[in-house]
Amino acid sequence: MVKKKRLLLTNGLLEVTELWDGRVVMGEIRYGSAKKSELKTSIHNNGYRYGILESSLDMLEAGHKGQIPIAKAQLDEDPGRPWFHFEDALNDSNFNSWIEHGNFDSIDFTYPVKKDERLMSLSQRPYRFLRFPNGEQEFISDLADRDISIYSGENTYVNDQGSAVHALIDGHAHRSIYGTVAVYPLRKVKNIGKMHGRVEFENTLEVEQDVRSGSRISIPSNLIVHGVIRSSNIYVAGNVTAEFGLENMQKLDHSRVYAGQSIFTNSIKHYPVWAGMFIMVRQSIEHSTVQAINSIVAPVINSSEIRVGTKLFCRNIDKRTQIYLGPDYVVDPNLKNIKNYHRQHEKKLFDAFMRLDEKQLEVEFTKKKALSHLAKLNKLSKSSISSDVLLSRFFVNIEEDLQKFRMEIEKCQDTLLVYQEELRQLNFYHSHTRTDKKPEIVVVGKLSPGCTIYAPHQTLRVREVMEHVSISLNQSSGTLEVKPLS
Amino acid sequence: MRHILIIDRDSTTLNDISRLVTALNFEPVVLFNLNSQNNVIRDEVAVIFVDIETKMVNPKEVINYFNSPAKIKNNHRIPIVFMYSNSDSKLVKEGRVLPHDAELKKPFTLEKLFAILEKQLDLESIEYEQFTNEYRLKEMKEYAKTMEDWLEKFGSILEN
Repeated sequence: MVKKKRLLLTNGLLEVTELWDGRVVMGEIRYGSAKKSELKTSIHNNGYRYGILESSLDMLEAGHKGQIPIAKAQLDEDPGRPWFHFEDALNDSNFNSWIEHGNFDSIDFTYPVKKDERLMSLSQRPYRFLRFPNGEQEFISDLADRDISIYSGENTYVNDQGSAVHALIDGHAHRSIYGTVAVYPLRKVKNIGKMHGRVEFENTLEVEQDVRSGSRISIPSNLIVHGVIRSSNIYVAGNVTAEFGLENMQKLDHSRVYAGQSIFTNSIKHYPVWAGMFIMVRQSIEHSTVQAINSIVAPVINSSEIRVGTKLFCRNIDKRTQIYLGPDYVVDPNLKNIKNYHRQHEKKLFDAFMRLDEKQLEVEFTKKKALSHLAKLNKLSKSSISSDVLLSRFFVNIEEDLQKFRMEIEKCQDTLLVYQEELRQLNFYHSHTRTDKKPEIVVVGKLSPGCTIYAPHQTLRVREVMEHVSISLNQSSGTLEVKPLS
Repeated sequence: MRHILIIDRDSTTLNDISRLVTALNFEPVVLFNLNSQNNVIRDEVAVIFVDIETKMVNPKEVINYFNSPAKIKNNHRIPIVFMYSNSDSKLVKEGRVLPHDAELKKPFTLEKLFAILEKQLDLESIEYEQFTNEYRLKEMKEYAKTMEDWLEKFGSILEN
């Protein structure tokens, strides 16, 4: 059934027609004209948010007459729901209990695991679906046979049933922000300083004392520091535990902490910090720029810039602190690179299929010629046919073409595997950053005047003390809702 | 079957059909005459749109080329849609006598074009799986396997 909508524009009228039960959406400017941005906003506000064909909007802006497809349904894959067993303690009920009792003693982000321990399995199977322009989903097929080895990182293996990822060695586990699980053996050092140069061990690193000022650490696993991390550049793919805090009192430019997963520490002072999951602080965050994709817990926040994707729990927020609330404000710094690579592989895959089509045509063409030549020889004796030179040449040519065709298939398969792995990683990233949870700031004490809270379509400047409040983000309108805590 | 063959040289028609079939996940393939037929694999063609008013191709030849009894396997005929703009023209009258599955009078709206495609492609029962990369690659592998078998038989003729 054809469904039509008329959308009024500032200077014209856009008629939208849904075909094939909404799988294809056509647009036509009936009169007037409109900029692409206005067209995009108009169709977006009318519920067509996915599969928008940008080139068609360009054409409508340029004055294209008649109907043109402006959005179409697209095939997509749900990566399934991975369950990371070593993170079992990090569930909502434990999290709420830590917050409620203000007791962080049981938190452990170091994740020690034993050889053969189960690290990850899928609690919901991956499946393929069709995403309609209006966001509806139609189930297409189950992808139960999808290989889960794409979740398996260093020192892990997939079990014989192909249902879970296990640890290959004793060590410490972590998962990356893109879902890959890895285990690295522990390496203990007394302390790390500038004189050690760039520290790049393939281990989980345990530092008995401090990470001194000017150090550079880049490790693919977890970092456990029993002292303080001072003015250093830390890049850790897993979790960071710094028992006595992160301090950048020297305010060195290169000092920053990047943790692919969570950070657990005593305090953060003058430090730029980024975490892919949680940041748990026992005492305070002061004069720092702190970003976490999921949640931040800190009793006191002073003079800092906070960017948080889902939840911020705190007692007091003071001294002109700025808070950016919502998933749009926290993005992995590496995401852009990964998306660029993914686009390049998408193009490579397209080219690979084009080459396959060409090779297939070449094989077919030679086959046709061979068959027509064979038809001409039909009346000759068998021995004359088998000794025909041209026919032998055709045979050799087809053999060569087919060999090239096979090689192209292999290349295409390799590219497809890389493309699918990147797609799975990006889907995982998006499913973990765009959760159903409502972004919220929970202040159990005071929110002082001078602090500012930013949302996509609203800025809330606090002019009077607010006590015991919850400030949540309405994701559809991009505005903030302030309520007293119950 | 992913290709929609269009035999016409009117750019508006070519663009309109191409845009819609692309949105339906099919691939438009344009032919200006039957000499370029080698660029088409019959099994890949889902529907053929042919303008019966132009003299660039003879509709009868198109039908013979794609739907001759020798080429039809498993009773699968490729649906053919005739396009024209002047129903009184002699060429159109002659063409209409030939077997075809639908007619499309120019100028047409994309809605009308969609109605024809919906019927001829049987969109209601279409398997979306066939538009995935894995499916395409699987088809290519199957094709390579079929060709290898064929080549083996072809080689046995030369050995005798």
